[in-house]
Amino acid sequence: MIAKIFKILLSFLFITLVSFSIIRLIPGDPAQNIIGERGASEERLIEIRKNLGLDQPLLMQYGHFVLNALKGDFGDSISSKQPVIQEFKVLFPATFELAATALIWSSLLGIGLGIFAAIRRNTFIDYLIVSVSTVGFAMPVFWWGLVCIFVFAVQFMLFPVSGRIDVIFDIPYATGFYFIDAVLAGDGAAFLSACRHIVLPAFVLGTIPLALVTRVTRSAFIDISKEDFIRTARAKGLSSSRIIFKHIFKNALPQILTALGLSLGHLLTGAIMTETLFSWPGLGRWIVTSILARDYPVVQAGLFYSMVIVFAVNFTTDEFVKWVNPRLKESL
Amino acid sequence: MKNLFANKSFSVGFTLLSFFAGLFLLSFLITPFGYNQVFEGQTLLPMQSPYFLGTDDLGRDLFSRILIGSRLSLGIGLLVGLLSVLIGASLGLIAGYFKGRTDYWICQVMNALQALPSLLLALFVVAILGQSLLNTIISVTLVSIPVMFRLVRTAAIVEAQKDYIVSAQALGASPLRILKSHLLPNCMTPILVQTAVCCSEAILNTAALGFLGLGVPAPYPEWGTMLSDARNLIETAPRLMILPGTCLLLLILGMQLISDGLRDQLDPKLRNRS
Repeated sequence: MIAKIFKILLSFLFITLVSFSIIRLIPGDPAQNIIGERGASEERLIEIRKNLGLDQPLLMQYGHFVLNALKGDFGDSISSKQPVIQEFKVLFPATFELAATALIWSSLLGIGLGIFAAIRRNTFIDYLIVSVSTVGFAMPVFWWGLVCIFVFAVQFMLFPVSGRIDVIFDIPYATGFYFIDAVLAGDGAAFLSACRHIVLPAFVLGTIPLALVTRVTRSAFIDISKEDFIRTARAKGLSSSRIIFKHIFKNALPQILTALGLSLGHLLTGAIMTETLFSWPGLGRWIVTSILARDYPVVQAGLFYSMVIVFAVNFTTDEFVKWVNPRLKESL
Repeated sequence: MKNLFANKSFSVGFTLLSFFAGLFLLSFLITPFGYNQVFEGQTLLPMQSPYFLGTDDLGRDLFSRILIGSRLSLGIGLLVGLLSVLIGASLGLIAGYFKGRTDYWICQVMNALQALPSLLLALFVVAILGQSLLNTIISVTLVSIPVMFRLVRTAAIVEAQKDYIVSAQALGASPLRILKSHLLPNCMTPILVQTAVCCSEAILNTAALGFLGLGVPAPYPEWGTMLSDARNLIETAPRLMILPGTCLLLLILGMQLISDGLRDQLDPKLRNRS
């Protein structure tokens, strides 16, 4: 337990150190970088340096940064003039909503397809599933997104391609999750619109996790079905559905969960591409536009938040896998 | 070698890669037009002579651009693969052989590099260094080093405990000699497999950076950048989006199939890990 707390503290220290240094690693004077290429008077530069605390010793600056980071204070965005934390609070639910939807459909379908392919091993349908998932795993997300836009939005005009909801709807802000907000407001039409908007981005974002989960589930199932205890179960005369779900699935679960943990990484990077492609107002798009606009307070905060999110995701996945499969406890 | 071609994944991957190697060579021989040669008034022409695949929105020949784009994608992919072998694999061998403090510190640095998913790390490196061809290569290489390092280190730790290494040590061979002529040849399988993975990841990440507008700067015809330019022309000229994307997918697929095939054929124990 103490080791775990120590690990968390150490990681926090590391995360703050990296995001503290990023502005100072960029060549040139930070104050000059922040004010941009338009140039500023000498007094304005001194004022900015003073506001940022750049006139103090480095260690003091770092101390201030850690304290502010604990409060979630990263200054104001240069392009929108709003506090960075305020923007984050609005954008985070958008990314979470998208990633969660993508993860849910892709893992459920992926596990199903994997089991199906493993049962029908070496048949046409198995070859089909394996080939498609091999291609899917190699698919560049951004191109796949363009193809989906071309087919579903341009050719058949089935789904909208940008934003989270039609502009005519104005649902009161409660949680930031549009699904929940629309239900809370009792607005059925808004809920439907939010659903229609999430279909394409979530479909595109879930494709690579789907391929990964399918492949891993299939190979884990085939491995375990060759074990002795499965033969014993068959010899006992248990029904095949009972063997599949009770015996094989339970033992394949740790491998499947590890694959899900891996696909969370794919989801995070995929979210950057998908959000850019579908103008989804989330964190990924925020980070990319801030890098392009040289909006350094946002870049710094974006780095900090993404490292915190990645750490939290990895930490929980590890703990969860250990909880499901106690045999791993010693080896990790 | 004969065994390798009996493997279906490897032969399909090899065929795909040969096709792109052919494009790569072709781009030095018969590129019809310059990649940045603009033909005024000939924008968005469909497939017709002399423009084999038509022209883009600025009136540049698409076929020439795709051909020259293969130089960038394949070139960057192979270069990054090579660099990650040179840096990542050597560090892995050193860490796995010497263990102790050396191992600890190299591992800490690699852990730090893996604190972010690959594309995010590449993005922030570009944010720090600025946007150029060289910086794209640097950021994509940085991303691929830790993965290579980890695999090679694990292999090296296992090999370093074996008798032939111990006897080489007893005979008084220098560490450099042991690393070079004993450890390296016996860790070749994971290195080969992982090099192919690194190449495919590098090609994908380069294109992804290009698509986000942070990769190889214009006017170089990088496939990812071409895709991002084609975004607004989906309705009028879908071929501008379909052709470079298909090339990208097939090249990445080829690399991954080669690594799958190598893994199946050279090290059956690794087969079901992904």
